Amino acid sequence: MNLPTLTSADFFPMLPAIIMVVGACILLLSEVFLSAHSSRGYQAVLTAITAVIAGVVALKMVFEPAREVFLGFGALDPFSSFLTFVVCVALALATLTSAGFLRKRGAERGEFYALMLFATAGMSLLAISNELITLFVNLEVLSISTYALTSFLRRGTRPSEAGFKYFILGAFSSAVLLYGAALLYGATGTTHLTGMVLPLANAVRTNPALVYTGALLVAAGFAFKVAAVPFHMWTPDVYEGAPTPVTALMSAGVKAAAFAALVRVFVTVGPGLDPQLPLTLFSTLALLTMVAGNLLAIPQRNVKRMLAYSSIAHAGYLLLGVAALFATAPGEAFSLLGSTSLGTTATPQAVARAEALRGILFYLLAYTVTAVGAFGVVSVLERREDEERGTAWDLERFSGLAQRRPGWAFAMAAFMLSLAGIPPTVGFLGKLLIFRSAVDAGLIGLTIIAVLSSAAGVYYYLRVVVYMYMRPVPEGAHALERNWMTEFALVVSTVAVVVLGIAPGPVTEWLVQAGHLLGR
Amino acid sequence: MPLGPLILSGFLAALAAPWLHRALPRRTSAAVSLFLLALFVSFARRLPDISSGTVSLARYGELPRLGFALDFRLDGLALLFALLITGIGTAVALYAGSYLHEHPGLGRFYFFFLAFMASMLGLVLADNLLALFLFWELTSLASYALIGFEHQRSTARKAALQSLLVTVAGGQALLVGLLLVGMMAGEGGFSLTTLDTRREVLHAHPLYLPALALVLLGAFTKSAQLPFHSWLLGAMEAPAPVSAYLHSATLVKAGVYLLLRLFPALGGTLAWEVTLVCVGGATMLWCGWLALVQEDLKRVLAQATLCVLGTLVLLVGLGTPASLRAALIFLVAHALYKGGLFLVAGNVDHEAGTRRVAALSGLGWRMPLTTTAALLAALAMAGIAPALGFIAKEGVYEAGLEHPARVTTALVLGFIPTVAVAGIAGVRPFLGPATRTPLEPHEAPVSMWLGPVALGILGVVLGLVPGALEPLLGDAVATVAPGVPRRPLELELWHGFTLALGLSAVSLAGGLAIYAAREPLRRLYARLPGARLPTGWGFSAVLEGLKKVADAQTRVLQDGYLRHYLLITWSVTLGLVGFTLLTKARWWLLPPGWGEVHFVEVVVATLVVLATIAAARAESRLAAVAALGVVGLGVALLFLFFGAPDLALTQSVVEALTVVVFALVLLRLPRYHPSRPPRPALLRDVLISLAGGGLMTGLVLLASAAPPHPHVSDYFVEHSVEAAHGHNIVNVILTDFRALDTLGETTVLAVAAVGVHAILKLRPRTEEEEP
Repeated sequence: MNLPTLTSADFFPMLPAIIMVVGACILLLSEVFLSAHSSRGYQAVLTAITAVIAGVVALKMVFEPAREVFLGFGALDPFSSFLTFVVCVALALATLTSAGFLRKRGAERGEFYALMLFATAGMSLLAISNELITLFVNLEVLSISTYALTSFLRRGTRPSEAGFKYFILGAFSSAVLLYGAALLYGATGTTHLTGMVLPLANAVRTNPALVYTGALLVAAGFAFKVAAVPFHMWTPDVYEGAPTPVTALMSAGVKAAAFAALVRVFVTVGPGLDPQLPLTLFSTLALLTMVAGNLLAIPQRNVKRMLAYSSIAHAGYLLLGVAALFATAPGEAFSLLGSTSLGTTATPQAVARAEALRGILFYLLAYTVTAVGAFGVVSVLERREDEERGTAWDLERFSGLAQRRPGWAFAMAAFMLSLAGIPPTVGFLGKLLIFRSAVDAGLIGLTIIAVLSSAAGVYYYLRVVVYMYMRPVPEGAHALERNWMTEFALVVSTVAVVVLGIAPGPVTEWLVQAGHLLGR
Repeated sequence: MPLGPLILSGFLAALAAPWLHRALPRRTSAAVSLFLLALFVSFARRLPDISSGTVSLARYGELPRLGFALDFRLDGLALLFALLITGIGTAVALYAGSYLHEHPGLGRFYFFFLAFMASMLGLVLADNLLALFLFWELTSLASYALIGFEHQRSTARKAALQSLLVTVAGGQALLVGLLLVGMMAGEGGFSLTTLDTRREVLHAHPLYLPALALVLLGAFTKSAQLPFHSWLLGAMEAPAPVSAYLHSATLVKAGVYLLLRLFPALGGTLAWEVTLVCVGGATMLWCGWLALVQEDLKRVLAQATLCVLGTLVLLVGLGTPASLRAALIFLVAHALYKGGLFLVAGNVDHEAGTRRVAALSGLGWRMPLTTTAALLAALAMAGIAPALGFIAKEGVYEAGLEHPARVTTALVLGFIPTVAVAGIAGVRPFLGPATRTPLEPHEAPVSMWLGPVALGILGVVLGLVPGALEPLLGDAVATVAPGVPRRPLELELWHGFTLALGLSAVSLAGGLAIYAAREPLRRLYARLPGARLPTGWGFSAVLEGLKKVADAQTRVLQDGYLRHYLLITWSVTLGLVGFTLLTKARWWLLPPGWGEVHFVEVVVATLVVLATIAAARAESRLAAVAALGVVGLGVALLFLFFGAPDLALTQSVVEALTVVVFALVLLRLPRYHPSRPPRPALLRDVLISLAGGGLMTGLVLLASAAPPHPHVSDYFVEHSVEAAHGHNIVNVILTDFRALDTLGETTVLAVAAVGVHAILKLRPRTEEEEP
């Protein structure tokens, strides 16, 4: 019989993940040789360097031609490579804000960074997973790492409660996803996404309920991971209770990876399904998520919680982009980023889809640099003593920040403007791309609702700016400790938010390339 | 200088101004003013080019892949606005240095002032819809910072936030509107130059109405049309130079500019005409008459500005060549007199210490130059010859006379209160007996009267020599109405005894009558219900309503109870999947004999069901765990009956282990106090559980109805020895055929182990040190 063989080329797309796992193992091993009081400053630096190397490798891979690897278990394509780059950015920035955060709490440990690296490796592998079981395993690697990270600081009820809620609801959603995958396997006899298309087209005719329920359950599982309404309930509690750098990684990285997997599953399997199903499903989710997410954020005075709700709202905009992927009646062929990778014979659908993919990816990058930066500012302002009382993240903390730390205030203002989608920031460009692809895909009504809800969002983002710039410094405000690593991360994020918003430069080149998803 | 560097120089000057202010605090305002004057001259020198039909185009920082290009174009309309922006800016910059003299935030003021100026220039020069939007939002941000300039006052903060929310929310609508317009216009549709040639395509497009609605929403919020007008009244919290510059001459005109700019592409339809005429007319009448009841000098002026903005929108809506021409002349005249009047109001506030209309009287001889400026501006505002305002008003009436009588009537009714306001704000404070004011009034320094006087004189000079404006306005009209053959505008003071002149006389007489009767009118108004509502109550009500909805939603969706989260998540999943199951399932496809059961199966199933009920009703944790163990063993038995002994073995081992682990954990937990939920909640939980069970049953049945696949196990039986040299098929599957999955699972376990270790064994160091 023919025995399948694996070559080094098959391992190539895993390279970023391998780099991160090696980094994690070095951290775990080095921890053995340290006493409780040893200096651990190198750990964050090492993690950040690992993330940067992995990110650079991922960027190089963006220009590799798309192909299946690992006997079809994995898919190397510019889409997944760009996504790996995004999660590496999230990891590097989140790590830099971790060092000072953990040191203040006396909890700096190699295990923390190792878990961050494991989680990110899981995200990277999730992006290339092209088979349901592989996908599930990687989802679990990433989920379990984040469960542990959430309750890493065991002290106090909030972290424990957050970890517990996340674990219970996360396990539930994983089970739902697995059940859906099993039903899809039952309908098609395979777990390979690419191999599923033909049998699915048959099964839709013979046993539609099995296919539909399977697809719905898988979608519900993903909806939980990306925090789409009504599967979002865990988000604010978990984001608030988790250590702030972990929240940053979750809001940016976990969301990006889950979106990547969701997009890959439904885009690949899509041709076998009724095209109306994903469109209806994701349009509905997008609608609910955008409206409810923004409304939930409005009454929040707790900035960390507000950012959690805001991340729900942003998941809604991303879902709008996902819905645009499945538009059946796109508008006139008006190409947003040029159709270089598509050739001249591309159908309007293909063009619209490539644009939506690029929009989603750029939005994820934009959200990553912005949100991680914003959580970075939150993390330098909070004090452990206030956490239990829940006042650590009150808006009051931001009063007069512009006078005390103009640099931080400027950075936070840039992040808030970017989250609100106001030019000249990267968030504006991201929104522009998503909205444009949605308009192009013919989702006019949904785009208008997106715009209206994001207009409501302006209120709670700019309130932070008002507090920083227009309120006096409160009496008895505690001293603000500086930390060079966190500040470095803030500088990087701010520069990225502003510069990418004015001149995206090479990023557009990568992006043009990354609109290519295998099996389209 | 080319266009790009001109705009860029504005932003660079904004960055440099705070430094300059720190180094030379007394010279900065003159320097900024000179800079703006230089810009003005540089624009003015282009006038001959434009008149000869040359349109300068420039492209910078193109992002071709994003469809975004920083294109600039200088045509007649852009030039008109650029001259207003830089010209009035010159006067205001000079003024601000003295008005905000010794204010600690003066450096900041220069920064935002110049940044606003540059953004506004970018806005009017942009030739790309997205570039236009970029500058549009920048002007909103700068306006926000300038309204909240004196942010120690909570009213200023609130007003700043309101203006920002309204304009940015409108901006978001505008963004999608512009995207739609660009998409509808097809290839290259984001360029304004191209857009003008796609008129027919746009008008015939099915999305024309939504796109128009969104664009108009943006324009109306920026130009403070009803019902978004109240932010402009709040914006009077800004210092006087800001009000003069942003909130009368430039920023609020941006909406009108956008309407004029898009008129060739989008205008001229019934929807355009009806919407603009209705909204503009309503704003004109409502805000114009309410100007009479305001008590603060600046607010009186702001109300009058709203009235003018309404008139301009109405005129653009009418869309005839005459009305567009009238709109442009009126816009110029208004910018000159209203900018001057706001600066005068600033002088009065600065020198007399109050802005209350009732408290001001007889300032004339004590502030002679300011008074001169005020009277000149009032002349223009009331539309009395020889001021430019007269020509503007005549033009408006003539444009109105081309339409049904109700339009003209509305225009006259809208102008009557303006005449009265000219009296209230421009004449009344300076004549009559002197009153006591908080400060002893005296003339303002030269930098503060020079600007308003210059603007006032300009208003009269241009009225006397209107031909000077001819080329500029002619070019602007040619831009807005490209198809119309260019002809002289016939700007003259004396047109003979026309109907328009008669209307002027009527409105002047009416205005004087209203001015005389203003006190009774004000008392009458005070008795109306709703008269006491604070400014911006509508905005506050919307905001409060939104907050209430948000609060209610938060209480329902986010009460913090894990069980409720689970309940909602479960119910949604059940509903979604259950619905699909019920509507899509084809039960007739079930294999024959699917319902047959054996006696043993019934026994085991009953056992499992009973054990489940016991687990749910158990009074102690240990009993519940034991009951769950029975469930697990029952499942293992079922596996055994259906020929899967290995599975049964695994299941029972896992079950046993789980029970042991459970028991170990339970030992460390506090006592359990079972509490029974109220009956409705119990019923709901039972129903959801039953639905969940039913759904699972349905799914299993469906799966069994799927066409049978070739048995996977056969493949493994055939190939395990040959391919993997192993006789234990289960082992071969785990370590060879599906080795990757096993590796993955091991990884998951390893990560879980690290995680558990991290949570359980690692205590924060501070915690170890504490006893």
